Amino acid sequence: MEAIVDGLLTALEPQVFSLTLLGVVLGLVMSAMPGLTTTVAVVLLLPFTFYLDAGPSMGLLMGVFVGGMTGGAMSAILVNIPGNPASVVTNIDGYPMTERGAASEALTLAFLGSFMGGAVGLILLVLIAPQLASIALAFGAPEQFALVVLGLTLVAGFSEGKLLRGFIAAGVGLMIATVGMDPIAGMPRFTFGEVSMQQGISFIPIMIGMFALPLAIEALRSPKGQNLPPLDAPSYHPIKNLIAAVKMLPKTAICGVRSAVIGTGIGAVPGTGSAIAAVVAYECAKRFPCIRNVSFGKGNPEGIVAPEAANSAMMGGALIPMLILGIPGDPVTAVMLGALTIVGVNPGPLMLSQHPDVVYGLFGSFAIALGFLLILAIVGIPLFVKAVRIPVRILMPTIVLLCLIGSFALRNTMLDVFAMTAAGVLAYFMKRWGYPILPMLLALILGPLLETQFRMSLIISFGDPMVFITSPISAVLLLLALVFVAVMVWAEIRRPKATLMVADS
Amino acid sequence: MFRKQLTCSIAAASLSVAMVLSGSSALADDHYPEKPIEMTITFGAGGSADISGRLAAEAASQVLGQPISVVNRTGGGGAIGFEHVRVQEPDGYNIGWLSASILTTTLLGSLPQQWDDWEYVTNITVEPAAIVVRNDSPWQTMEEFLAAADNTSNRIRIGHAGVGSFTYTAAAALANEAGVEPVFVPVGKRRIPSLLGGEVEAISVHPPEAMSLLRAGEVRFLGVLAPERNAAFPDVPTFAELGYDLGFYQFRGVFVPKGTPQHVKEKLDDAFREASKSEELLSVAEEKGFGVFYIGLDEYTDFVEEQNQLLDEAIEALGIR
Repeated sequence: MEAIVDGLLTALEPQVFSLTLLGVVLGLVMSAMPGLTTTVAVVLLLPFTFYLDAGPSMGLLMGVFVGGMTGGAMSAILVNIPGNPASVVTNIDGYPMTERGAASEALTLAFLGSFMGGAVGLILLVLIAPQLASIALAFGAPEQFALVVLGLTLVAGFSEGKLLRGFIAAGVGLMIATVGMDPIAGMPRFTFGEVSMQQGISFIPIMIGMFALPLAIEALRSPKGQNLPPLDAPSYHPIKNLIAAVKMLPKTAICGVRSAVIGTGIGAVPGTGSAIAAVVAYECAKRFPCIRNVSFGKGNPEGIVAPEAANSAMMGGALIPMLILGIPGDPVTAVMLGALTIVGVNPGPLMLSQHPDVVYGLFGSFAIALGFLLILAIVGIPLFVKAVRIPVRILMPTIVLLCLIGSFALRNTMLDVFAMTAAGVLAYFMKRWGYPILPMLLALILGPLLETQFRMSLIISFGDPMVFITSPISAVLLLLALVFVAVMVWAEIRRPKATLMVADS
Repeated sequence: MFRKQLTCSIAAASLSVAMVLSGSSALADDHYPEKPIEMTITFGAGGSADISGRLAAEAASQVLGQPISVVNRTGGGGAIGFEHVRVQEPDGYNIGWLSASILTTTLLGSLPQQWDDWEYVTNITVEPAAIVVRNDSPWQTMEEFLAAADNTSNRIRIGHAGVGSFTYTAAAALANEAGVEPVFVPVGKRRIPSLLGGEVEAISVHPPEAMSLLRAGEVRFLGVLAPERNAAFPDVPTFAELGYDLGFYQFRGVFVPKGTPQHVKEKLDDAFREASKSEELLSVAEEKGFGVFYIGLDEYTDFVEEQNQLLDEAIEALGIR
C-alpha cells in the first residue's frame, strides 16, 4: 500500500507531472495528424529519455502513449482519415456524425471511449497483471493462428455487401503481406533483388496512403465541390459539453467496458497490436449492439466508443508482458523497455519487488494522463472541431505533405513513401470501382501473423495439423470463425438477386 | 591462402591509391568532426543492439565534441542498415553500428556484398549467446540437454530469432558439433513467451532478453557462446569449456563506408575507445550481461575477417545457404 502511495507521489512530482501532460499533448497532436503515428512520436522522443530518470521518462512515454491512442480518432472523425493504426475503423461511424453536424458529440464519444478503455486497462493491469500474463502465455502459435483466422472472417463484415470484392481485396492484401523476408526460412522473397524490399511492406504507410490520398485526389479533381461538413451549433460550450458527455456515459458504458476487456486481452498477447484490438471490438459491438436506433456505418455512437476503448485498453494489456516478463508487446513498450534499461531498471518478474516505485509511478502517470485526457476533451473539443473548417485547398496539401513525412519517418526508408503513394492511387481506383479498402488493410495487418503462426504451429507440433484442434482455445476460435463464415455465406445466398446486382453495380 | 594474399595486395594497392588521392583533402579535413555525425543502428529501438549502440554513441560524441544522432534502419536481419551505410559518402559523418549479422547477411546472400565492402573501426561489445531452459526443465547441464536432444523419438525443440540470425547459427552449430538433431523453431520475437509457454524446450538468445527471468529464477542458462565467462552469470560455462570451440561470436561495434579516410577512422577509434570505458556503458553491460570487449582500428579488420571465415565454415556445415 505504501508503495502505491509512493508511486503516485512520484507521478505527482512537478517534473514527472509536467512531462506526463506534455506527453499527452505531443501524442495527441502527432497521432491526430494524418500520416504521423504514435510510433513516430515515441521514436523521436527516445533520445530524450537518455537524460531522464525512470519516473520522468516513464511519465513522458506513458503520456505519449495515452495521447497517441486517442489522437488518431480526431482526424478519423473530423476529416475521415484515421491518423493512427489504432483508429483504423473509427472513421466508419465517426465521419458520418461529422457530416450530420455532430462532430463535437463524436469527439466527446471518442475521448470518453478512450478514457473508459484506458481506465479499465489500468485497473486490470493493477489488479490481475500476473494472471493475465500467464493467460497470454497460453496463447501460443496455434491459438494466435486461430485468432487471426477469426479476425480474417471480419473481412466480410467490412465488405459492405460486396462480399466477393471484399475477398478479392483481402486476397491482394495477403499477397502484399508476403513481400519481404520469409519468416521461417529467413530468406528474401518477392523482393526482385531490391535490398530495401527485404524490410517488407508495412501496413502503416499503406493505411496512411489508402485513407488520405484518395481524398486529396478527389479534391484535386473537383476543387470547387468542397463538401465541407456543417459545423456544430456555435453555442457549444465546455460546460454543456461536460453535461453531454455525462449523459452519454450510461448508454455507452456496456459497450465501452466490453471493448476495453477485449482490448486489454489482445494487448497482453505480444505481437498483436492496437489495430487488431480496435477491429475486433468494433465487430463485436456491431454484432451485439446496445444502441439500435442508428445503424453501424451511419454514425452509431458505439462504432466510435468500441474501437477507441479497445485501443486505449490495449495499453494496459501491452504493459503486462513488458512489466511482468520483460517482453515488449508493441513499439511503444519496446522503447519504454529500452529507456528503463538505460537507467538500470530491468523489467521482469522481480520488477515489482525491486522497483515498486517505478511500477507504481508508471501506473500513477497512466492515471494522470487519463485524467488529463478528460480535461482536454471538455476544454479542447470546441477548438478541435474547427479543423473541419480549414479550407480544402489548405487542408489537403498539408495532409499530403504530412503523409509523405510520416511514412518516411516510420522506418527511415523511401520504400514506405513509395508504398504509401502507390497504395493511395490504388485506393482511389478501388473506391471508384467499388472495392472496399478495409478488407485489404485487415489482410495486410493479419497476413504476416497468419502465415508465421500457421507454419510455426506445424513446426512445433512436428508437422501434426491436429494441433489446431487439440488446443481448446484454438479449437473454439476456429469453430467461431467457421460459424461466422457459414452465417455470412447463408445471408449472401438468401439475399434477393436484385439487391445483389444493385450493390454490385 | 592465395585468396588472402590477393585481397591483401588489392587492399594495399587501393590503400596507396587512396592515400595519394586523399592526400590534399586529408589535410583540409583535419578538423573532423565539424558537424553532427549520423549513426545507423540496424536493429529496432529498445533492443540490445540499440541500447549498446546508443550508449556508445552518446559517450563517443562527448569525446568528439559533436552530437552523434542515432537512426534505426531495421529490416532484412540488418541488411537494410548495412546497405544504407555502404552507399553513404565515406566522410566519417555516416557511420554504423554493426553486429555479426553484417557477416551472416552477406554470407547467406541477402546482401550481394562481401564482408570487406565496409571498413571496420572499433569493436565495443561481444554479446554472449545463451542456451536457456525453464527452471522446471529436467536438464541441469548442457551435457544432459544435448544427450536428451540425441533422442530422435522425443525431439527437443530450440527456439531462435530466425534462420540466419546469430542466435540460430550459434545453437545450430553447437548441435552440429555435438552431433545431435534438435528441431529448430524460428519463433522470432516470441522467444521468451514460447519458452515460458512450453512451445519449445529451450531457446537460444542474447542474455539481455532473459536476464530478469534468470535473476527471478524462472530460467537457467546451460551455456554461453562467448570468449570468456560473464560476470553477470559466472557459473555458466562457455561453449569452449564444454568442448565445443566454435570460435565465432556476436560482436558489436562501429563500421564506416569503404574509403573513409584513415585519420577520420583514427579519430572515431579514439572516441569509441573512450566510450568503451564509459561508466554508463559498463554498468548497463554488467546489468544486462553483455561483455564490453574493445578491439581497436589496427586489429579490427583482421578480427572481422577471421570471424567471417569461421562463420562461413559454420554456415557451410549447416547447409542453410
